[in-house]
Amino acid sequence: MGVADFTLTMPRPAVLCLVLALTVTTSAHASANDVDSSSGTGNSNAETTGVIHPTVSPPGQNQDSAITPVLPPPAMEPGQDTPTGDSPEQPIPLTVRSGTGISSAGSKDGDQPRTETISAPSGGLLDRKVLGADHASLGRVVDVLAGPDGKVRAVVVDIGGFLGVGNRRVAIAWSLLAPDQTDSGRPITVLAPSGVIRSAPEYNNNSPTIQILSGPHVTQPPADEGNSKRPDDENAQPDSPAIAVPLTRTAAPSDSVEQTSSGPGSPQKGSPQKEEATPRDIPAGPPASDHGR
Amino acid sequence: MLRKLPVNSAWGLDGVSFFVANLQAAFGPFVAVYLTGEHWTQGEIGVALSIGSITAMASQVPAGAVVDALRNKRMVAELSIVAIILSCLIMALMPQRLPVAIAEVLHGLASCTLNPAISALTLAVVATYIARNPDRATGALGARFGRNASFAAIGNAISAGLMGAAGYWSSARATFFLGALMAAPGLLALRMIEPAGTPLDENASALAEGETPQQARGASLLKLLREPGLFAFALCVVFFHLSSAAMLPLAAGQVTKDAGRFAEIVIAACILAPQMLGAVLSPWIGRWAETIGRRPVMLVCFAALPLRGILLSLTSDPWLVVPIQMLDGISSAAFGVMLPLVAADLTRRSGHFNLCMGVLGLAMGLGASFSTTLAGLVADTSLRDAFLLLAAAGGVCVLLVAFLMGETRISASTKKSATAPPET
Repeated sequence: MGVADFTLTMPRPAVLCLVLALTVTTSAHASANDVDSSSGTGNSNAETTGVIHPTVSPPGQNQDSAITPVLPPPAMEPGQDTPTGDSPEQPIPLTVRSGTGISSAGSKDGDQPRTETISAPSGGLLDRKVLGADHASLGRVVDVLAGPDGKVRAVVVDIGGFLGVGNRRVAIAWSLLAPDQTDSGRPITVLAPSGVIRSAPEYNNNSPTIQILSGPHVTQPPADEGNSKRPDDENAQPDSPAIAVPLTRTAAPSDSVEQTSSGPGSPQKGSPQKEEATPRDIPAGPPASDHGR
Repeated sequence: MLRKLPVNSAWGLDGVSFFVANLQAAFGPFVAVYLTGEHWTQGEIGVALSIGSITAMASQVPAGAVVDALRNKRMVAELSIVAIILSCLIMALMPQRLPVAIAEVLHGLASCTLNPAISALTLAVVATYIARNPDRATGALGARFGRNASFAAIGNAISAGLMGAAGYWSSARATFFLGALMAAPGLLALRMIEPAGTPLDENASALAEGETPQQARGASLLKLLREPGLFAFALCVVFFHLSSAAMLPLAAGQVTKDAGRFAEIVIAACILAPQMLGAVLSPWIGRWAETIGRRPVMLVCFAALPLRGILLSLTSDPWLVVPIQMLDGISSAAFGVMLPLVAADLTRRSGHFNLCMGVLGLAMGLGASFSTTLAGLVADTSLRDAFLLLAAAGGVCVLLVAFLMGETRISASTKKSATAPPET
């Protein structure tokens, strides 16, 4: 809680939100079957990288060409991009001059990052109230953690005490959140019992390992469906009865969720509780929340 | 409706201590909760809190000097209360960066002038009382400070409870409005105090301790700085807060983790129950400080602090934390009574009571800040070690009292001889 630098702290959350919104919306729309929109949105993602490496990575450039029908092919050098439509990965060599050519062409269309307007429902994450699966109020989201793969891993929730005394922060895996969070006015529901969430280990963003509460999510409330991943497994049998019901009902999805979220840190079946974001994810050892690149 | 308020200084002081002594609850860690709800980022919240704590620490000593210089201590207290009410309202109505910074600065300044002003008013009231009833001079000051601390503890408990309830059932913003609302009757209570200022060339603490006006002359800053007990006591204060400030947050974090749904109730009990115990004990402590002596009472009561640290390190059951926290009631009540009392003792010959209070307030702030930082660092690795470290700091405090501090009370025999200088 030292005297932070105004100029540094302000842009960071804003940029994080922007990146988050972009990745969420692009991942939502990328699954649409519209070729134009997918190449368009894919292009907007790649365009930013295209700007950074103008003379390298032909696939990046290629994607620009894929959506620049405005670019008249005969007017450019022989090595210039030609629109290829639907094969964005086809490499196309560029000449040195294409750097300037691209920027002049980009002014029309876009190797520069262009803004995208969507009118789809989307919700902010920060400062939203958080509820447990049993509708108990837990606290508010104060931070979002992203991994080195660029995907959002977890949200950090500030779980309250009394008059501010005793507040703790807990990182909860993204997979545990209820799917539809687009309404910024409504609370986020975490699909795990409140007791488990409250007992989760504290999130400490200064330590090299981040502990994230994870696990298969219970199906949306009625309150008492147990979450199999209790951090202290004292009352859990290998398959406790509380798990068996949701697992059999939602067999495939929850199994796949279990596998993706538990990762290599789960030696035994049915008892991976926390996901520790260490060696697998961070080869060099910086904290998971610090993945700048 | 404006009937003339009865002028009864005792009730006035009671009222002031009750209504006002605790606006710290709203401006403590609760600000972070409130500002999070107002969509502040964690970095911004940290800056706002730092502004508040730096202002509070930096203005302790200057504020004490200012209160010393002003004759009308009641006006100082009134202005401070108005400033605190304003800062609560600003926080509630305008949670943007600049207004919140202003509110934090206002609050820091106001609380630094308010506490010395109230203690100075107490001295004036006791001095007046002694002048009118010379036969009841002995022990009047200790008893009065004990009563102040008692009402302050009750006020603390009730306002913390009300604010917590308001935050829970209404919104975080409501707690600030409630804080402003609860401070307003303090202004009325101030009006009830008899406006008897102490002439500046006489020494308020000396008069309040029962010395005659002839003995009470001679305020001198150099004499204050050369008073050996001042630095010894300041060190004790530092270590006391080094030990006690972080124990509640650490224990509360543990409780939040283990107590699940009941965490809020347990923490509320941890805050309120010691205050109630303190409210009951404070008058007795004030009386014993006068009859038995300051040092023995301090030794026994401050020893509750390392004991609390050791006990907290041994258990992690949230329900056991509440009885252990009751020990906090003992040590905090003793501290609340002893701080102004020993300050009055120390400034008996040299004057500048409020400056002394400012210095001790700075010591408090330093101890508390280091406490949370240190404990936070150690608690990351081992919570148990953090509690033991805090207990060790408390032990150092007790040892300092035992070996470094002398008894500051004047014994009755020396008071009888008007010519002989009172010995420490």
